[in-house]
Amino acid sequence: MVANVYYSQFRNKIWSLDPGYLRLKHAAKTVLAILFVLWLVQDEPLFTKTMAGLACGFSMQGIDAKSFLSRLRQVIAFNLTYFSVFSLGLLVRDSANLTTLVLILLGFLVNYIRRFELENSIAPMMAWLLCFCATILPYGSTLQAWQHLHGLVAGLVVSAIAVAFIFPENYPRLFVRNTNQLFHLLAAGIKDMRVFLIKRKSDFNFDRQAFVQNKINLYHLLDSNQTIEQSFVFNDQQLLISVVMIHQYALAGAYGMMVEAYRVLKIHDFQLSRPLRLMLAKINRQYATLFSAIQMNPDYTFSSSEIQFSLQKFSEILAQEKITEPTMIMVLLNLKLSLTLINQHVRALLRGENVP
Amino acid sequence: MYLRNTTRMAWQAAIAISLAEMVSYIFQLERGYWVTLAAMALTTLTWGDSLKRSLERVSMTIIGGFFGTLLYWLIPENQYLILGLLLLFVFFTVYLFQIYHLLAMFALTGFVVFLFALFGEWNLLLLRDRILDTALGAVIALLVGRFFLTSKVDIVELFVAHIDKIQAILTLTFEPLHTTEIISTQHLYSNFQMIRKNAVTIRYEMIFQHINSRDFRLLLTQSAFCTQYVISLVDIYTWVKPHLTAAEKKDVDLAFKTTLHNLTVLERHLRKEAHDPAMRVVNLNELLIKAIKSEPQRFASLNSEALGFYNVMYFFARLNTRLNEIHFLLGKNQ
Repeated sequence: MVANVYYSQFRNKIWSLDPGYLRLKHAAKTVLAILFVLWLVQDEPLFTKTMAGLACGFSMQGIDAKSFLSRLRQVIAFNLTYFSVFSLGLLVRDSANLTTLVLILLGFLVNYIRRFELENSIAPMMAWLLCFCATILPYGSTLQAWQHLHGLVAGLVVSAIAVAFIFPENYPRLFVRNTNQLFHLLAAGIKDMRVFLIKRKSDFNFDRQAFVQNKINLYHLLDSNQTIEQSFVFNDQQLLISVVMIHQYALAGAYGMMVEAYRVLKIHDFQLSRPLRLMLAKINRQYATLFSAIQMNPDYTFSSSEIQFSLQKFSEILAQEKITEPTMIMVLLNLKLSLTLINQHVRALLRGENVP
Repeated sequence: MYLRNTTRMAWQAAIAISLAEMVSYIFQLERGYWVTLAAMALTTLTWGDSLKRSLERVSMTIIGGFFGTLLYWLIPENQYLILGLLLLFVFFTVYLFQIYHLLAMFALTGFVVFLFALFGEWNLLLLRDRILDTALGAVIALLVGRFFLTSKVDIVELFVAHIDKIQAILTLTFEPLHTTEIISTQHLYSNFQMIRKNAVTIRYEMIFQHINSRDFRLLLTQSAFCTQYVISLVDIYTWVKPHLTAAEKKDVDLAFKTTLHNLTVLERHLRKEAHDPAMRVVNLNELLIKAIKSEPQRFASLNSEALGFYNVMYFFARLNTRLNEIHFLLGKNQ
């Protein structure tokens, strides 16, 4: 049981670090591709193997196109460039002056061409690195180096196949998984707030509470989803996805408002009465159940088991409290408002409303 | 002369490589290519970013180099084992490069150690050369970033652009002329996220300036709160608007105009232009006490619809309090 909790926390941490495990998968794919190309050239000399491994590893980086066709275009263009610059490196490696000149010119060029939609791409640097490697690998002579060129070709071909066809990144699916993870985090955070309400610990660091930390993770997921939304991978569903994003931001905002209300309670050391605390705990349990049940489907619709609840009872208890302290009134108003906003946006998502 | 960032970076890279090659030639460095490699890799768009990456690269070359060397000495001499460890370091370099640069540099050095080990020639002298040459390359990249076509993060413009966005979104929400438009706060948040991401770079740039980095962090926190309050304001106003009375709408309008005034004052303050003093929006506590005394039954159940006005005023009050604190911080540093 405890192991499961730790595993779940570890998984959440890794996900928030790398949503969709895209980098993890890419790293695994890179290593597998290198292993495969090394198997292909297993009977060749060490230099051929080195050339194949380096070419394969370097050329697998820098492909950032989201759709299959544009990825294919990038693979072809980049691999042809890699082959050319590596060959250029081999051509000039015997002359120290020529090598320096080529490295300087190429250093200029790979940065200059970043203006053509390559600002954040790692591919230009990989091109320079491959040329650089060609000039420093310890071959006996240039002629000997040319004899290992098939290692370079093997590395580039294997990397092209791996990038284009093996487990290509599926961004729409990642959006759905991120969204479901967002609901999962909201459920876990609200559940944790309930524990905070019931236990009434006085000696603790508020910012270290799991439900406060969850706020950061929520925004990690929103960042990831926003990047996907701006990548235009949804074709005719783009408008729907943009609206879903607005609801997601609103939910995270309302959650943040709730956290801040509890923070003010903690700062002023306000003690909520027992009935009020129990009521809030009950509402939090209902909201946690709601978020555990709601799910985004692969077609971007939402489904959930029917959960009925109202804030009427909460209002009745507040009426009995007769609170007059202004700060306390504002805290409770904000708490109520955040609960109402969450309710409203969840219902809008479930109804499939396309206007926030 | 205006130069695009890409052109600027291209010239910087070319100068850094030239200097690295020159240094290698003058000092006849046996493995001068490490200087060239580090100089090229550490030349980035802004000096702050170069500084951050240089510190990370050099420190991780030292730590990763010693760790890798120790590991190499400890394991039995077996080519497959060396290849396995090399691939393990490749895995972590690729995995962490974009998400955790510091650890990626550690893994990268491990990769270099085992790549040389594969050829059977890794030793302490090579480790020393690797560390010194990387440090030399880092120094070259930093000098180039500092003195040739220097590009710095324009802190003021980043904040001013963010304030403009806040003003635009508040105007869309509270100006009656624009009520038909759908308002989305998501871009406001992503915009602030961009500033936050740049903050690391800004912080490194400030190491050598006489600006208190603690105050800058505080400024960033205050701005984060402001962004959050604006988002909350926009989210709730669309919902509570139909429940506001004419008198309440008048008060909200006054709060909105005061906020716009304070934002404009802040913008002028940031640009070091002459500006009016900032204004307080409302003393919410006084307003509440007065309302509770005159209409106690209205507060009985803390009904959100009936009291939505106070929610709106609460966020206006908090937003303006934070804006005033930013004013104070900026005034203190000037």
